[in-house]
Amino acid sequence: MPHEDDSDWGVIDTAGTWVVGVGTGIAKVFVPLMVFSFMVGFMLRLSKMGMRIGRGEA
Amino acid sequence: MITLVDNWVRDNMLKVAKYRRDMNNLPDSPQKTELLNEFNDMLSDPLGLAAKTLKKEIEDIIPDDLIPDLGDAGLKFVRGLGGAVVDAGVGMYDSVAHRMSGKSTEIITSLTIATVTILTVVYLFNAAKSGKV
Repeated sequence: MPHEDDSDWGVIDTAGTWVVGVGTGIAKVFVPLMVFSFMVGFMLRLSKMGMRIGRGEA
Repeated sequence: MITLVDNWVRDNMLKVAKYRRDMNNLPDSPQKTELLNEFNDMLSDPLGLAAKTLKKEIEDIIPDDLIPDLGDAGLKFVRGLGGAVVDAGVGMYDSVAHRMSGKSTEIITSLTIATVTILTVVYLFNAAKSGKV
């Protein structure tokens, strides 16, 4: 129950709303963004490996 | 071209002479004097007479109290416009606030998701483009 009319709890309520909101948002996007980051990192690793093999250094 | 203008001037001068003759043949009366004066005024100042006639016609067509009424209506509209705009803004704010009341956590979550996603996509795009992590 929000305490918007209660001045004693207004700031705490707002702070809690932001903490919960930002935490929920990060939690929701954490796994998809990590997967995409893995994909990009792995793509870069494969690209570098391919270039090294192409140059005859491997 | 000159012949055309000559003909036009001669025709109109003949018309003027005919009108003057017709008016002179009228029996003497104040109306005849007034008519002759107007005719002479028209010949000496045609534009002024046209403006005078137009003003009289407009005054005959438009009632005297219409223009002040129009002004009053315009003032009322302008006075009411500010209040109407403020009322519309307050109503819009109330509507948005009512729809979003109790959902501030979801709104902040959505903002966070959008921000983090956009920043991550931009970072990954730049990383893949430059080949450096």
